[in-house]
Amino acid sequence: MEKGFPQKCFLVCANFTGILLVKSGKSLTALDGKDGRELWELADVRLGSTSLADMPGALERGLNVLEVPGMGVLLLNGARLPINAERRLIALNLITGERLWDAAPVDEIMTVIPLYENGQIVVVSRRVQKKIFAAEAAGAAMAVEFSPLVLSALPFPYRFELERLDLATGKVQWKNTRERLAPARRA
Amino acid sequence: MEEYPRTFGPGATSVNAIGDHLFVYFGNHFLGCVDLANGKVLWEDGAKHLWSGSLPLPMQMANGRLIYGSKDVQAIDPETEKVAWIIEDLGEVTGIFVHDGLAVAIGEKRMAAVDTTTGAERWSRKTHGHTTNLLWEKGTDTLLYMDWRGLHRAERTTGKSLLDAKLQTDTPPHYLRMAGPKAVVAIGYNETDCYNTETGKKLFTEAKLSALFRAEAFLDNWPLPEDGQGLVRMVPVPSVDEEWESIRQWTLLSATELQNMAESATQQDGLLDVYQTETEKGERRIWWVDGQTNRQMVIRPAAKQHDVSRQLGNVFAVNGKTLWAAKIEMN
Repeated sequence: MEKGFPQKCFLVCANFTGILLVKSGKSLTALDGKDGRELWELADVRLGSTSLADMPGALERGLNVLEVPGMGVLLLNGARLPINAERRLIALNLITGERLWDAAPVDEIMTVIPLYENGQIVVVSRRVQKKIFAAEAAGAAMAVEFSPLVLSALPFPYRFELERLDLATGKVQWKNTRERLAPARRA
Repeated sequence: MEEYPRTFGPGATSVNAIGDHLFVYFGNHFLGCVDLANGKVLWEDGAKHLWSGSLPLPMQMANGRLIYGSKDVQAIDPETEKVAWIIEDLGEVTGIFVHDGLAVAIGEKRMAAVDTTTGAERWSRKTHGHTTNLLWEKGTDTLLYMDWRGLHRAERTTGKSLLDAKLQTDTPPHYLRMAGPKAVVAIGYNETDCYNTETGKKLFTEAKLSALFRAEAFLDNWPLPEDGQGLVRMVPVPSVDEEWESIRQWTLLSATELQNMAESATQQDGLLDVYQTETEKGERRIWWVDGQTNRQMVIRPAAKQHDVSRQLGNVFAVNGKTLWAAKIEMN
């Protein structure tokens, strides 16, 4: 199987259903992984996180594009369709590409935890603190060169965010933003 | 809201929903428990020490108690934080396995098994430092692990030693994965080795692991981050019958698509994984272990981006404007 795209392409998405998602230029195409058959295409969708989009390789690593296993729902975080004025967390039907709902975006999705008994999910994300991250990038390069252990002593440049929402409607049940993490009570 | 001091690097993260709670667990063995009903943090456990290169340990429930590792291994009531039992003096804990009323934990000093109801110790055996995680071989009900002395296999219920093969590398690995019915991959910081689990013989050596293509997912965290996050399964697939039943109420997948996914999910963990290693000179090799012959199968990747699905029997490659797929043997 060989398929050409009008522009440079790359695979995105942590995917469990055997569907390939290919980003090329503005388009996002879903292909059946068995035979390459095209399932659907969004001609104009911009992907990217709010704090990592401009970092090298962020999109190629499949950040912010995630299938909820078994539910047939694809989440595009920090994405913009022509009908959206700004970036959103968008849920699509994985098989048809139909837009199901959209909600306020989170920063960088780390994982989605499905709550199968009630059709809800917890979106776990982290927000990069750019200034700290940039300072650490330089420090980390030196640490890798001289002593990898130094990496563990670097400041932690993320805040964790948890958000529980209904997968059918996108309605948020609760949201918990942690300033990095709270201190341990039982150290 | 109070914050941690900025000098806090917790390492890789795992997140699990168990019962009414969400557990966020870090490579430094720091654990946070969140109430799934309202998102409030109920409790946190662990010291604010820095990440030391280990991965988050498995967490399991037994008898309504959460069994997890921090300084020691303990079973607690997630609601009250009341500790039911503790396994102490293990040294730095590197692995936990809970099954059928028995919790087995391994650390740098020893390995011990306790009754999950009472915490009474059933057996204990000495380990020799630089231990790995525990791998359960279901067919033989044995546990595999490595330490400074080599590859070991012990009976889960008795601790009786069935294999003690000498370490055949200069540096011990820190993580083991099943790579086939008779093969285990030992992942070190600069080297990846494969061993025959029946004889303990080293089958082959590869360079540093640079990517892991999980059997159940495409592009699950590619490439491998330095903190080992790629070795932690981040997005859980349904694992028990009740979850598959619940999914049918909500899923947008057809019955056939769901059935296909359920069948691939029931494959034994890791047996169809594919690995990518890379030398210091940047030479990449994609490989796996054939389940029938126990021989290494190798692809020398030439494109910019690859993925491999042994389930579908395809290797995918992306170069410039072209995506192509080629058939591979599926054993």
